[in-house]
Order: sequence, then structure tokens, then C-alpha cells
Amino acid sequence: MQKRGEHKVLESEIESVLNNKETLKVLLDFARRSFCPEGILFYKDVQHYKKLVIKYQDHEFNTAFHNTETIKKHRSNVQKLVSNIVKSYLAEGSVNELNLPNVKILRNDINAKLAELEHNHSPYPVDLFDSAQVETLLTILGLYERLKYSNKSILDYSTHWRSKTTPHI
Amino acid sequence: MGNIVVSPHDKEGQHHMMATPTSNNPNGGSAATAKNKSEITVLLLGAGESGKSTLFKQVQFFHGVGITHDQERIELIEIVRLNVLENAKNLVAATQHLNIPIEQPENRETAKLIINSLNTNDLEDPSWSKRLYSLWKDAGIQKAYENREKFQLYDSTEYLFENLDRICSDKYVPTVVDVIRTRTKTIGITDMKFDVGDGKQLRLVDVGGQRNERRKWIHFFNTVDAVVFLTSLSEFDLNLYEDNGYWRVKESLRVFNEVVNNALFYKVPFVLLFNKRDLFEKKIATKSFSKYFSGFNEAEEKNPVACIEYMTKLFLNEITEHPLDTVSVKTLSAIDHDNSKQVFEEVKQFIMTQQHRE
Repeated sequence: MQKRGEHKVLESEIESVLNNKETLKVLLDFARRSFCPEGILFYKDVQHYKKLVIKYQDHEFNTAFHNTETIKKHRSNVQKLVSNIVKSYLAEGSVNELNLPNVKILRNDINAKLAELEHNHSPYPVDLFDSAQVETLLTILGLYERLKYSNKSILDYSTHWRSKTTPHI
Repeated sequence: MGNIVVSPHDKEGQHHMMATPTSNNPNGGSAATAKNKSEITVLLLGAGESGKSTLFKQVQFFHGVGITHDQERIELIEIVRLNVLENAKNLVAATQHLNIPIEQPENRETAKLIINSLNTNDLEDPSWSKRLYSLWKDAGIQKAYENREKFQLYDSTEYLFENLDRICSDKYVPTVVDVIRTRTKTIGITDMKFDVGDGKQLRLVDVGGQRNERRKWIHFFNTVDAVVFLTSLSEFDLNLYEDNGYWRVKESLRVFNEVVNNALFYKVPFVLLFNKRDLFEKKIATKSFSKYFSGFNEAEEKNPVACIEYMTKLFLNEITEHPLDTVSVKTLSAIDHDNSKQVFEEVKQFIMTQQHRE
């Protein structure tokens, strides 16, 4: 049986770069030297958040009424991570603040959602940061194009990737 | 200003940050005086969408770097098509926001697909050229386009829609003009170097212009030999991308004030470039300029020279510290290759002359 949240989706080229250990290392190093690692770090933290939420949902689903302490601990971990993401990437003036359109509105929307989740004690949704993550991927795409100009192995990776599959953004 | 702080989950971040960068080393210049230095660092500064990267791409092109080669432009197919999709999405969203109906039923169907499922790969199919062009020509979309100051839209929208027959093809290779006209939001800092004679190299540094990006500029302030500050003439009726309730002109003036009066730049030549003159001239033919500037004589609002003179005064009034004899003001249409070449040559000469005076 397919677990909840375990949906297979088509991976875009930039996602494949971010999800591959070797290419991620090269891209992140380039981003740091270009003074813009924040988008990549945000993407990875959101991926970590999604995994944690799915794990929490599965655990709650399978063991509800059996081990409430474990569920509480899981929720606390998710809360801490969410708080770190908001503080690190979305708070005004934070050192890793993302370059997003209307970041003020986005920040207020996410904070309002968080307050509602806590008030109702609802489960954290997997897609909490999705719109910011998609915007960030578009931004990273420009950086990736810059890297391709200066790094042959990444250019080869891109050519190879495209010969195997078709890109989707 | 501290270093970029890395994610709490990445313990190796600081180590990477401190590693010697290959190209973007802010301290790459020598400790020699500007006159004797073999490398002249010129910073392109300005708020978001002022045209810094367009000028940077033009300079790359003059020097046979990057986009000159077909193979490098092929890598940008995705970006060009993303621009098409983003423009189409923004226009469709604007019709909803402004309550303007898309008139033709088949265009409404296209609009639904754009919002829900269309991706860049689909644009290889030539049938999308017709569908997107038909949508672009829809009276509802055109009405939204006429009101584009009310939402965010790239300057290149019209150009891209008029070139859909080339872009929506599996044989598509972006032209140099396509690449120049394509909007890619610059993040972080990037640079290029080229020879300028006398054994000297000019290092041109391009940066992101949105608010969060400006904190990164300071990494280069200590080693800078000249500043080229860009502002868009055509932004007088627009609000910011990063803060949709904030007037772009006010932001540009504020950033200009902070940069030009920075103590680190007192002794460096400073160029103020009023960019997008082409768009500006088209815009003032149909939109009111004086509506945005209470001190401007309404009778002169269709005269581009008078408008630009007014803008020049507005910006120069911000200068309180920098010696005025080391400031040069010019207009530019960065999407125009010949104009960019000519203006950049003048900028280069101004900088070199100022350096010799030092």
C-alpha cells in the first residue's frame, strides 16, 4: 500500500541537481562564493520539513492512542524546524532572507497559517512552504545557468540529464 | 556587516564561506593605489529591475563572452520559456484581479491550462504558439496589459509574445536579442573581467538589486574603483517586486542616497545611468508623468528631455557628500546593443580619465 504523502512526482532538472549529493555540493559551493546560498539552504530545509511531517503523519496514523508522548515529541520537532525556517529565511532582515515577490504578504500568510494550526492543534500540512519553494527554485535556476557557464562537469550533467528525460518546471 | 550565515543544519558552511573563491573574491584587487592597480573594479548597483544585468549581458556580448556562442544560448531555452509562462500567468491572474473578462471562450480554455498545468516542455509544440498568441491578442488580456502598472509584469512581455512562433518549436535556439530581453532575477554577485589596454583589466561586478540582495553589496565596497548606478526611467508608475505597496522611484532615490553618500565612495568616480529610455519615451506618450511628481510642470510632461532633466535634478539633490565633479549622468537603453556599447564606452573613458586624475 502506498503511504500517505508518498506521491511520485516528475523531478525537474534543477530538483535533480539539488537532490543529487555531488551536484548539490558543487552548486552550493558556487552559491556561497556568489553570496547567495540562501535559496538552496531553504530548499533543503523545506525538503527536511516535508519528510518530518510525513513521518509524523504516518506515526500518528499508525500508533494513535498508543504512544502519545512520541507523537508530542514529533510535533515539537516539526514546530522547532518551522520556527527555524521562518526565522532564517522569511523574517525581515534575516541574514538568509529569501529574494521573493511580496515577501511581506507571504510571511504574514505563513505566520497566520501557523497560528491557526497551533490554535486548532491541526497537523502541519506538507505544502506549508510550497509557494515559496517554487519561487525559490526559479531563482536558483538563474544561478544554475551561471554555474553551467563556468563548470564543465555541471554542463555535462545537464546535457546528460536532458538526453535521458524531458524537463518539467 | 557579517558574513553570510549558513543554515543551522549545515555545519560545514562557514568553512566553505571562508574558502578562497575562484572568481568572486571581493578582495581580489591589490593594495596598490587605484592609478597603479592592474585591475579596476567597477560595481553595477541599483534597485531591482533597473537593468544592471541587461547591461552586464551586453558587455559580455561585446567581449565575445557567454551568450555569443550558440551552445551557451541553448542552455537558456528553459529560462526564455519560463519568462513566456510567467508573463502569461501574470496577465491571466491580472484579468481576474482587475475583473476584466477574457473575451474568447477558446482563450479562456488556454488561460485555464496556463494556470493549472502548462509547463516549459509543452512549449516545444508549435500549436502553443498559436494558442498563446491568440490569448495575447484577446481584448481582455490587452486591456489588462494596458493597466500593467497595477501588477508585476516583465518589460519583455510584448517582445516574447510577438516571437512565439520561434520560441514554441523543438528547433528553438535563443537569439542574442532573446537572451538580452529575457528577465532573470539576479541573486548574489557575479563578475567578468576584460582587458582595457595599458596592461589593465576591468572587472565588472553585477549584483542582485532587491532589498535582501543589497546587504551583500558591502562585500565589494572596500575594493571598488568606480560605481555605475542604474535607475529605470520607466518605473515612475510602478511599485516594487518585493513590496507591492512601495513606489519604485522612492526606493531608487533612497538606495542612490545611501550609495552615493557612502564614505567609502567619496574618492571613486560615480556614474548615474538613467536606463530604459526607450520604454520611458513610449510610456509618457500615453501615461501622465506629472501625476507622480507634484513639482513637475504638467505642460512639459510629454517632453522626454524635460522629464529626464527633472529626474536628474531629483537624483542629484540626493548627493550631499560625494564631490559633484566626479559624478557623471547619462541615459541608456540597455536592450539596444549599439546604445549600450556607446554608453558603456563613454562610462569606461570617464572612469579611466578620473583614475588618471587621481
